[in-house]
Amino acid sequence: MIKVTKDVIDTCAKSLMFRLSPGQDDLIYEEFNTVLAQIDFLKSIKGVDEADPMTFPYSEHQKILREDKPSKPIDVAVALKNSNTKLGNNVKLPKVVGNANDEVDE
Amino acid sequence: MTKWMNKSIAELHAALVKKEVTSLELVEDAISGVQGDTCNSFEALCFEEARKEAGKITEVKEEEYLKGIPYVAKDNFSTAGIETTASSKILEGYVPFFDATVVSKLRRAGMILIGKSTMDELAMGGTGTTGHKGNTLNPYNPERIIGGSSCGSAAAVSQGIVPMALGSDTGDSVRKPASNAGLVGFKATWGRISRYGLFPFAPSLDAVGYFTRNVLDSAYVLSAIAGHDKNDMSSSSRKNEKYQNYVLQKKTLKKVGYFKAVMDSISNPRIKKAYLEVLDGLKKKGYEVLSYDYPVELLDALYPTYMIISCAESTSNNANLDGIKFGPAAKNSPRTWQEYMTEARTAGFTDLIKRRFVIGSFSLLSENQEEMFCRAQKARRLIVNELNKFFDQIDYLIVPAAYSIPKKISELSTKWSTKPDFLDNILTIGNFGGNPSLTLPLLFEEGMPIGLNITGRPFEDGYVFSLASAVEEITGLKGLVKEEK
Repeated sequence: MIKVTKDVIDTCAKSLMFRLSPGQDDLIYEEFNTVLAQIDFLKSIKGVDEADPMTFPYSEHQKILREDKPSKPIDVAVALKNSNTKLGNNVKLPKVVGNANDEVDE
Repeated sequence: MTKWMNKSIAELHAALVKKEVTSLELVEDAISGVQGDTCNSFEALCFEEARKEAGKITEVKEEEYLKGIPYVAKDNFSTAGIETTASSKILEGYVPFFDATVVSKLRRAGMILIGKSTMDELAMGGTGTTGHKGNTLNPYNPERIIGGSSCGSAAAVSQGIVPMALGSDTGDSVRKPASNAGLVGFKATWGRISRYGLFPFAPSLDAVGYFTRNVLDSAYVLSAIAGHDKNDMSSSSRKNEKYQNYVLQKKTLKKVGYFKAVMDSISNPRIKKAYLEVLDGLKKKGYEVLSYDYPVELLDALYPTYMIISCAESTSNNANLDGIKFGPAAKNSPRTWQEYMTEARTAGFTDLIKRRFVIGSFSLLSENQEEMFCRAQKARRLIVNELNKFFDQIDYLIVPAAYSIPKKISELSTKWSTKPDFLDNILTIGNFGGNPSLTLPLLFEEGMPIGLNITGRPFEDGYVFSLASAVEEITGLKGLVKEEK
């Protein structure tokens, strides 16, 4: 398992695409001491590592072939209604192609 | 003017059938209640739409139990044309273009939505104090928490503003506030009610729930909203039932059980006395009451197992909150889409949510997944296996829903609990197993209500109502409303 450091915490935050407020990394670091102690406790429970991981309470999956009926997709205007940055029928973003550090064409 | 909204659904239905009141009058009474709300219970309101819908109702038939009756939905249910924020800045301004299935079903049943209720941000909290509109207060004592995450829905029903409000329950988010507010709070069997249109928190645990002020009303509501939904692949296609018949016809099972470790750990003598009185009362009604030796180490595992699984699942589920398709625009002129998302998510989530996401993300890293997330899933398996052994022998698990009165808001901490008490986390067991589970009032302590919780086998929701109805007869606590004097 990766050792918890403030750099690791910062990397997680970056990959989650947000910045932490000042002091929050300290608080998370402190919380990790508790989390990892509790993971050790789970590890100590007899039979835990032989158990099958439980993803859902039970399977209620059904095998149903849906009718092959065409359905109407949502209207473009409806799809765009909640976006703050639009251009024509598209969501407008600052730059989507190339590297993040490339010069931006305005 | 007659106050209607402090009555039960059954009473309101009877009055509508007899034309003693109109749906529009009920809606006006509910609006008046919203305007007098002292607990910060509401997000968006939809009074004009409600008046319009109510005005169309000229007749209510005997079998139309919910028709014409106002209700409130927690702000994590999608509602077409009504802002839906999950009490988070990241969703401010978001107006869904579709209704959650449960909202559609209630509309088809004739219930009238008057507004959305406050909640802990993105349902990730149990205090009612982390939403973007500030603290939601407990009508019994504003210094103490009402609990969460379905805080506004609990406060609205407890104040007699509406007789029913939708919530969602991932750990105990309906059943704990119900305990703190003197209500019936029900979480259906996982998959019994469609979750389409409910913002996911931790889908392996999430269930639709709701508040009422008595057990029979709760059963009527489930009859209207249960059932398969082609839009929710986790919803069950098992046959829907008339759940109210379990109460009206007293269709019940007979073996009630408690965990010995829980009984031995209750330190408040009045709570223990009230709990024992209920168990005695059930014996007198012909139930067999049995003790079960559920392993303490698995009870101690409830909190870390819940926290790891819920943080990991929520980290993944909230990745779509990017500020692009919906939500507030990023500020500071971002130059790339990465900067855009980072700006939106930095401003949109509070520190608490970010901390939970970081821990969830860390537990999902490929190097850590086996040690953290998978181990929590394995612990869940052991917890549920043992619960299933209990249910092989016993029909119902009955425990107090709380072991002290709610904490003061001023005493809260948002930090990860270093010494979790299994009594505080006992209700999560019903989410791990997907069981139906219901809280109802047990006693008053220092002027604050404290609830009792009943859990049954998956898909035996009806039997949970029937036992709860028997408990209601024993305690005599039903129809509680805390109105402003």
